[in-house]
Amino acid sequence: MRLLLALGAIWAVALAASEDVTVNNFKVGILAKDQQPDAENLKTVAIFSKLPSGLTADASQRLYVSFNVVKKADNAKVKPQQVFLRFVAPSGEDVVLVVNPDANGNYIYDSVLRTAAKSFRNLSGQFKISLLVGDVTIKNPINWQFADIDAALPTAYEPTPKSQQVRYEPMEEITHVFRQPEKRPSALISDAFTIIVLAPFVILFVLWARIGINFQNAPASPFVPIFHIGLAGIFGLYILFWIQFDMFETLKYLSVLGFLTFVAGNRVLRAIAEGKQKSE
Amino acid sequence: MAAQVVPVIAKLLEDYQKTTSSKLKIIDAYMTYILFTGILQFVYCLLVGTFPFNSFLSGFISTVTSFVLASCLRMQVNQENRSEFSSVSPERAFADFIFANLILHLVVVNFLG
Amino acid sequence: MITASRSSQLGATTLLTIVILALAWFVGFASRLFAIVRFESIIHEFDPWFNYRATHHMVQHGFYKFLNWFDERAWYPLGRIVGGTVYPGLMVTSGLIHWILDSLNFHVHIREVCVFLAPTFSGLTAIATYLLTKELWSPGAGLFAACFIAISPGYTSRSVAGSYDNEGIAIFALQFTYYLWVKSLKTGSIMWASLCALSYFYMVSAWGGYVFIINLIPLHALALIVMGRYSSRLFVSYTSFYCLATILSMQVPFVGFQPVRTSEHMPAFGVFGLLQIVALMHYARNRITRQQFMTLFVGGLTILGGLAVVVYFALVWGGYVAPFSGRFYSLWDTGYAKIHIPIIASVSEHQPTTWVSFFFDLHITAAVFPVGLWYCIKKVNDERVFIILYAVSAVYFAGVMVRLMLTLTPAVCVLAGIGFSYTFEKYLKDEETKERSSSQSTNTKDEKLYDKAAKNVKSRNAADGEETAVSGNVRTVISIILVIFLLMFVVHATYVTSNAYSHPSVVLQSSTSNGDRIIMDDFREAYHWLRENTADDARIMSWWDYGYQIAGMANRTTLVDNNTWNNSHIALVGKAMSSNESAAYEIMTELDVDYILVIFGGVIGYSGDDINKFLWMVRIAQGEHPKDIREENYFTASGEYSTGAGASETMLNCLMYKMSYYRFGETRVGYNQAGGFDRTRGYVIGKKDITLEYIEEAYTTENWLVRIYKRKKLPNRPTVKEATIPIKGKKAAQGKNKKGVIRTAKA
Repeated sequence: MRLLLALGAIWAVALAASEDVTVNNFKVGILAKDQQPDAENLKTVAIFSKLPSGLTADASQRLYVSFNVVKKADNAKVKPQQVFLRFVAPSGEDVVLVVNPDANGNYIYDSVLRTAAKSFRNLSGQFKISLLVGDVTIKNPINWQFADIDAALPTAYEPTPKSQQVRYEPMEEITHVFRQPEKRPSALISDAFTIIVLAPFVILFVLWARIGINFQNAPASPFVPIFHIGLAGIFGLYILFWIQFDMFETLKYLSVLGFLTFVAGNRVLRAIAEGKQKSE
Repeated sequence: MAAQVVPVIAKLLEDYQKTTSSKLKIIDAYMTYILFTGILQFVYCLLVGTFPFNSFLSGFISTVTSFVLASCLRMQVNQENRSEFSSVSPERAFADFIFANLILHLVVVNFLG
Repeated sequence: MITASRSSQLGATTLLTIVILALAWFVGFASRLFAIVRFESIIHEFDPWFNYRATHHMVQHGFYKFLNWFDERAWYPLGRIVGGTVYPGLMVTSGLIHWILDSLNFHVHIREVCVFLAPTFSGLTAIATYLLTKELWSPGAGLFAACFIAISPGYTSRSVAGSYDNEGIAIFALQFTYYLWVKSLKTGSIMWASLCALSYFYMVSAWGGYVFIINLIPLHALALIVMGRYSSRLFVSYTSFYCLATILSMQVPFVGFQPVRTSEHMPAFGVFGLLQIVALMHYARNRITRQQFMTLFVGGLTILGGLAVVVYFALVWGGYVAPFSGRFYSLWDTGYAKIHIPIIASVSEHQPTTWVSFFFDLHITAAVFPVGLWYCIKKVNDERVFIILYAVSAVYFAGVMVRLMLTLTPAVCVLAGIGFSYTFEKYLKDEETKERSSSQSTNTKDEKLYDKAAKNVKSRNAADGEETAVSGNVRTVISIILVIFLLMFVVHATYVTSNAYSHPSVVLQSSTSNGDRIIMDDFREAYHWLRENTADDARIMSWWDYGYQIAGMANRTTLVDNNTWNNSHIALVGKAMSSNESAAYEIMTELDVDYILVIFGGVIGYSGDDINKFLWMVRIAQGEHPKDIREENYFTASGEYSTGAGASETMLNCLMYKMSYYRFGETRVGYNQAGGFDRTRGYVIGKKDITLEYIEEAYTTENWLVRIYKRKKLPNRPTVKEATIPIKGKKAAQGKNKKGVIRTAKA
């Protein structure tokens, strides 16, 4: 309800105060750095007409625009809320500059292009310049393209900080590059080498046979087979560990097997040692 | 130099055949076997490469360690060194040898991957 | 009859030994509990927080999951492979204790296990030291050494309750490995060598200091060879130890292939090769003539030695073996780290040691251990060579880095034990020979009393006087003086432990003018705030010192932490801290920072704050970004580091300054003092009206110790600065500036 009232009030004000405005005294020109604006270097343009020849400027020159905004009815100066200069590049990108009135209500835009260049975001070249005037109290907002300008602006300047850039496109996908596995030898070579590496095992038995290995020393005791089975069992366990068990399982079984083997081995070796001492 | 070295080695071999007990010869045979295995592993690493480095290392270290342990056992069992190893009887030495081997191979298998 | 009395005496000695060791354990344990009594059962400092977090993770998820743990909450956005970059011994140990207690139905929270682990292991260290000293000298000296190490401040500093760090268990592993090494060298048994390798494996899994062992033992072997003390026992113990130790140490994921790939481990391998040659020579020597032997020996050794050096350099050059690392060089050249690795030099415990701290940490033992060393040199044998080398190298390293005082302490304790024991044996022994055997127990009795409180002093001294009255006044006086020294050591150790080493540094303590203690719990307050008030995936930027604590206590993602593995990432954070606000904002946006945390001690006078560390941030940042950050820009015109009146413009505008001193100008310490007086640095700060544009204050703790800021998000649209807009009725939007407004949408 309150909102409606407020809207109504605004509408009423707008209706009551709305009026037609126009722009007069419109002058535009390109000035050198410390040139005073005068009739020679400025060109007057009537409203809604276009400057016949385009303007050209480089970065060290000034763009000068001055005009008044007046009521059509009584030529009194007004200060509308929105007075802009709009530069449209051929690509469609545009730059909008605010024009502020001075104390007397005259609008003057006067700026060295090099300083203005900050607003131009790297744009340079051909622009169409328009004047925009608008306010809630103005019946006939103005959008008037008054000139073309060829501005050679410095394009290299500090880019907008990355944190202020807005990206709407998705970022490039990052594909993870895995480390290439090193080349493995072919199965044939590795199998062959497995056999070759195992071959000296034969040498062992040949040599042992030549030296003459014997088990006669073993004392007759039930611990002897337990000892050997225990050892074999431990190495079997290791193979299982290699193939499937994890560390904890292995240690669990190893503790049992190891204990058995330890006891048996202790007995066997002690028996041998005692036997030797006796024989001595 | 080489002329001097050759007779020295020949003499060593001859000496060995004469003075070494059969017990030590068994150990020596075992060491020879390991030595050959080690050499072959090394040849493999030179020819083909060491790609699964952990597997290669575990194999090679296993050989080296077995060799070293066997040589330690040989020293301890050897009658000539009796004086140095007063606290280690041959049987104790053998038990130690087995103990060390068990530890070694547990680790080797773990490292094999 | 004789055997009976001897065996009963043996039994009494054994009992005494056990009782003394148990007492040493107990005293060592109890004296480490100051922190818990004063504060609470809490994990201390920085690294322990990570260890605790990792242990917690392991207990929850199991060992294999722990080894494969990829922590995405650290080093954002890189993450950290925890399993492969951590020494898991500590976690496994406490996990094992926790598991055993659990299966015995003692249900203890893992935190308690972690807190009490180090004090418990100090007792084991005492026992290991006893064993080592016993092998080196005598059981009496062993008891002395055990009691010394139990309370020695140099060791206590790293093992108080709550100090859950690798060193806590590593010193035990170190001593035990040395004991087993000496034992295996003495007996020449493969079994002891294998056990030594297993103990070494435990050490490797616990602490990076294992490199000390793997270089000291070969050094010992080499020294023995050079001294002509080679024996088959040395061959057996060293070779079997080296082989087993190498493959065992490679089982620790963090160590990996280093034992065959880095220069630090190569000396051990070189000595291994040398021993093979020497053994071969010895084998051959009995079988050939002297002249032939010399030919073989000299020729073979020079050729092989030259070949080994060539091969080593070829391998280094070819990239198969890594050259010595920077940390290694910094041990020889103390200025090296400051130039090349500022991140190492920035840690205070990596600074060279002052003389005072030797006395502070070792007290009387520092003065006595040269005596023990001298006795060892005079009565040198194979194993005493070891303790000599150990002591000499440890003294050197302790002089280079404060941190390595820790490795010196055990050696000093062993040698001081030997020194005291030997002296007492001389001066306390009765003339009558029948009492000779009891001298050991006399010593040990004394020792037991040293550990007790000072109330026994008088009666003990009186007893001493009576006992030695017959042996002359000199003996009495010397014994009494030594006993007084020992008592002073106990007092000093207790004092140091209580006052210097029992602060958790997570909780601060100060006292008011009338002596009341004030506990300042700002750290936990801030971390708790983060935990409760920020999004679960919020990223917190802080200097790396606080990374582990943020992860452990606040459970939030951090950018850098105490595991300083990525220097450039740290440098980036340092750059953000030392840049001006807008540049810092860019970096923080790139890194997705949500909150920034700084430690500021200016209100309470806490000197370990970020402003004091700031110069290191600048240096580290300069190392990676020399174009943007210059150290000299942060100094005053006269070249001082200051945030006061003369501070440079760069300093006053950097993020760290702004964050630390934001709103600080409003504070007033006393009535007659100007606002913004920094109590830590003792002057009024340079610029008081600080405005923040890109960040906003999120939280400041009670004593301003921790200040948390929030990075502002991207504004909806760029705004014209407020100050430049003259407000004129309804046409407020028109300003005087001609900068214009940017429309980004395409027309």
